[in-house]
Amino acid sequence: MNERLEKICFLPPVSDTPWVGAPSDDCSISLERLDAKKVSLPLPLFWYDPPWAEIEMNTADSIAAAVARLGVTVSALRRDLVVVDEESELHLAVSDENADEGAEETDREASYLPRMLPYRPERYGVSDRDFDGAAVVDVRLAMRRDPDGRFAFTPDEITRWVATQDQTSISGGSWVPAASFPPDVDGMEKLGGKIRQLRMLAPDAVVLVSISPHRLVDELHEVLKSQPDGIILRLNELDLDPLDLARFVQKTRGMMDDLAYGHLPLWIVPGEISADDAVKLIQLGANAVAVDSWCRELVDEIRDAQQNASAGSGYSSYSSSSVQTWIDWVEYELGSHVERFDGLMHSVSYQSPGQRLATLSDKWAESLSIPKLNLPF
Amino acid sequence: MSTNRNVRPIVNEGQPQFHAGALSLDLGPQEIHRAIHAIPVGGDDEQLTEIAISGSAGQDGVLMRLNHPIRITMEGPLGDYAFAYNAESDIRMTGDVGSGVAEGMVSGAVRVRGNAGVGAGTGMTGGTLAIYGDAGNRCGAAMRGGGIFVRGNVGDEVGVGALGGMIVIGGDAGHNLGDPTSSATVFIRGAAASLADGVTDAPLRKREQLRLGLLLINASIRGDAKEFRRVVPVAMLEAEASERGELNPNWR
Repeated sequence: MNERLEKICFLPPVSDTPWVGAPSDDCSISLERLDAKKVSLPLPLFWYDPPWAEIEMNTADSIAAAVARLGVTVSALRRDLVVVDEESELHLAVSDENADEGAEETDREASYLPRMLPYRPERYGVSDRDFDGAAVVDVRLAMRRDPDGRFAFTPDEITRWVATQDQTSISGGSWVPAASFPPDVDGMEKLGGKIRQLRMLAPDAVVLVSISPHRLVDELHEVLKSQPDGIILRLNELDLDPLDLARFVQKTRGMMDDLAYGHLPLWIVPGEISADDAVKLIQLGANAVAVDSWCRELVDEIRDAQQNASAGSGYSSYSSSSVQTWIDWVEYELGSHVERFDGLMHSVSYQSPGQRLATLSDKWAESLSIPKLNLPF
Repeated sequence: MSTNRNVRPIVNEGQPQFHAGALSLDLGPQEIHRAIHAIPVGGDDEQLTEIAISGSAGQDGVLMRLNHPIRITMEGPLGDYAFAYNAESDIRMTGDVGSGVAEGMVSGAVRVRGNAGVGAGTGMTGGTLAIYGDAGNRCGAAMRGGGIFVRGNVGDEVGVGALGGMIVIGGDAGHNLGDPTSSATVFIRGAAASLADGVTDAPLRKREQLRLGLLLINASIRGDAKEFRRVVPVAMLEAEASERGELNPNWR
């Protein structure tokens, strides 16, 4: 996987640093709702926009749960993963493994895999049960494009979300236009009311608002005034060169600080990145980073294999794989990225925040205000 | 099933009913939610247990995610997002409501004897929302099922993004009524300031007159179904025309 921020390097401690015990911090993050309730997530990584409709339902649910078990917060509706009334593995409550073995089953605190509820303006596919156990509610503003460039949802997506019991889509099998803003919110100044409602509907979740970057300077403050628990910035909607990606994250964090919202988390959807890039983006000001590009490879492989299997071509060695084989494969492939991320995050914790990154480039050093390595050339 | 201590059962002409004078929104959202769900369900499907709820003072997010077969009467006003994502409950309220009333309703009924703000019934998948006053812009947006009845006027963009269900408008509509990609059924008695691109109006077919007449009775809305016209995508009307039996009942 290509590294976009290769001009930036991680700065190790100086050579004569005394040997002390390794930092004990793990990568987990804690977010705070406006009502001071805390929400913990195992990793600052999330799968923002999985293309669930591209793979079969039972596989999708198993893959979603497998990714979540690695600590990555996964965005999914129940209807993305299971048909009406079936139970989704991703959405099921799981017993707390740390609970006292001798305790009564009913006394165990239920917990859930880290899950994000994509609350789109149209709400196609959303059911009331999606709010149960969600760690993050993602209020998505601004229109989304389908693969053809329309502001629309694909027939496959609509069929997945709103198919009736006999599995026929009530939309008639065509693409459906997308909305930009929730139709039951009377303007940006009323968005705060929607966020308060969602906090009531999902009492254990933080409510983040995701926005496109195109009018960030005009819109960020308006969104922040509605008092979300954080911001998700979809930088993947712009074709940014590596330096602009880094600057965008840093500048947005700076804007939030200047607007007195520096305490709010900034989650970034950067497009294609490596594990090293994810760590660097966090050092530049992001609080969590989307890893859709890592997961995209997995979905592509599964989709191709399923299509080839149904066509009987035998193209892929995975074409007749069981769901468990897919899970093992996902855990191995994605696990290597997560392990690299975890390792680098641990290594940077040896240094104080301002001393973790450096560059060989004058241009990058100047643009990002990070040290240029002092080398003899 | 435990009986909530705030609800005192009484017997009236052999029908089990519940008097709930002490049940108030002042209890707070979570407590009143628990209290309502603790009320025993009557054995008779035709006769719902009925409670009255007081304390409405324009609060937002009132009585959301109810999933209990019970009739609730209350007086408003209420703020935004009242009765969102409810199932089974039959709510009858007097007074105005804010935006997003009955958002995502699954089943049951909400009857509002007052006006509603923007986005009434957004994303409904079932049940009945009846508004006996006026409703604001984008009423029935993105609905996938159920029925919305508005006795008065509605605002702009009604039914935008609706994929299914029915919207009945007793008065006039604002701009861009309907949606060219929608499978939802829209009936209107008055005039629309404009229809959405790719949408037209047409007379009701016989079976729709019968269906609408029954629905109007169920929603307690006076009127003759013949007074209504339907608002449909042009493509849908053309498809109907190709099915000769739809336009010519004597086709066979």
